[in-house]
Amino acid sequence: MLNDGRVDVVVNDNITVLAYLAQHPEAPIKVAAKTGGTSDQSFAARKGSGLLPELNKALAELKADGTLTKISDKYLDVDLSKGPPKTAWELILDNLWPLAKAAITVTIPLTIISFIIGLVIALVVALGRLSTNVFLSSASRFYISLIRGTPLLVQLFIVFFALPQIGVKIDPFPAAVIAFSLNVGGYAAEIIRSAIQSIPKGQWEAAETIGFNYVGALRRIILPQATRVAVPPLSNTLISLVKDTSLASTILVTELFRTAQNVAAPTFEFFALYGTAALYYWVICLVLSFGQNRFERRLERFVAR
Amino acid sequence: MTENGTEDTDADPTEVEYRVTAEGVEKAFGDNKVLKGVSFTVEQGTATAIIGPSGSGKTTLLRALNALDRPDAGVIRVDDVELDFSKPVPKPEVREFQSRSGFVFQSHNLFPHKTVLQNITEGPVIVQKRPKDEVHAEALELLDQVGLVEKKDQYPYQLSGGQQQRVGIARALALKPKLVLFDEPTSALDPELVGEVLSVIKDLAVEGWTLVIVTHEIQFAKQVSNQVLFTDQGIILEQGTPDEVIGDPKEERTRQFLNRILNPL
Repeated sequence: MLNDGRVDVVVNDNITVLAYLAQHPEAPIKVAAKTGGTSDQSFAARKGSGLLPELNKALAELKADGTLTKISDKYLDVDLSKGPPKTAWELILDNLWPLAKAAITVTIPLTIISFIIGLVIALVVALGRLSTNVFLSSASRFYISLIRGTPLLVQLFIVFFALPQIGVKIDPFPAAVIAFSLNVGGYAAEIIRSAIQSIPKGQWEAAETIGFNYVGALRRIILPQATRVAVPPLSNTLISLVKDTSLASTILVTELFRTAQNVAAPTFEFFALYGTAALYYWVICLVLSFGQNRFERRLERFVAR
Repeated sequence: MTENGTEDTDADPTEVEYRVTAEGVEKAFGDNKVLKGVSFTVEQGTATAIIGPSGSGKTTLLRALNALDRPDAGVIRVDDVELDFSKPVPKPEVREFQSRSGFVFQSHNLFPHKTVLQNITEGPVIVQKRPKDEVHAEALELLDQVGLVEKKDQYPYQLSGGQQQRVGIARALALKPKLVLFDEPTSALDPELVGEVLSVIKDLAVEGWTLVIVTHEIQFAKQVSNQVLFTDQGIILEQGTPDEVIGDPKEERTRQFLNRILNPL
């Protein structure tokens, strides 16, 4: 009926469907979704016949030596021989480490690398914005406007999906780094610009009278003071970035959220896995907030309290 | 320390190794002509006080001597560096010119993120690239001179206004300038703190530093300076010794100004 196009959807036992698909790979049919329910296959024996232990023993042997897996693979193309689905708790416990690993090896490096490159871009753009050179200041203005005026998700897609169309192919991770760095650059540029402008003109003049040129005054006198002003809003940017890296899941970066998705999709344990992922993000952000507080206190040491 | 007081340097011209000269200095901010062709000379080892009503251009004139505000026209020479501001001046030359003078701001402008000692050593160590130990020792001497050695490791916010201004003076002196410029150094201070700053400046004059001081402290100007310039509406209306300009002013405007300052009621 499906093949003839007379119905759009059927609900059927998955062993039947999988067996059909395994034999007819060309059939214009695909599994659209799975229901939560399972149907168990059972062997029956007359009470007291003494065959039950034999049956169980045979099943256990078939399972142990992999024959069941082979049969399942041969006829259904997937392995259905494994035991009943795990509980949510077991799933969480089993995936605590894989999720942590994804956070440590992908999410956190992605955040740190993008943030550092983003800050460098931001400083350059902020100085450009403050420059008396009309070209530099309007180019910086344009960049900030473009980055702040377009969604981060769209920026990611442009770098990963659109650039290949003009011959620029970038792997998922570096593509994510590029998109996030450019994004941070746009937002942090305004933070750094306003922090620099918050330093009184007299500090520039005092630096000039003791012989500093522009770069020297900026590096030794202005930026150390501007840092104090910029750290709270920049911390906001960093914490947002940690969470925004979850968007990289959409361009095939197997970071924390993507890993949770991969486990949640076949098991339907959304609460358990997305909850765990959320908890991990929260922990990372808590650590960052703690670091921010300490850093701010250090920077406050030269200010009257 | 030079062994001679300021009076002697004036008396014996052979001792003068350099002087500061300004000729035809002009400066406008937009349509507002603040300096309309100002000329004067400051001899080495003398103190010059610039007095005059607010808006008369005295601060702009002082800032021109350090090129903090670039004049639109005029020639200024400090020691061996001469700049003609009617032409575009390359930045390295401006910096060379600026290195001949130290500047003390009305609102001290100390670097808040650096300790007292670091404020003083920053220029000599980082800009002039002189040896740290040597600069350090000199900085302590300077702090001793302004009476603040025990404050060396404090941050500026921990000091009183008068102490901050004395550190500002030490910072300016640390670069061993040929000329030290003071922009109303006591105007932002509480009255009871004015004395400690003025007495430090007075000591500098006695030691033979070359000073130009914009001030409203007429008695101080009279005591300390060798030369007084009275500015009014962008020109030097009257100049001479303190006895001439303050003691016996020729111009009506000068008399009016001094009268207002000395008898405010």
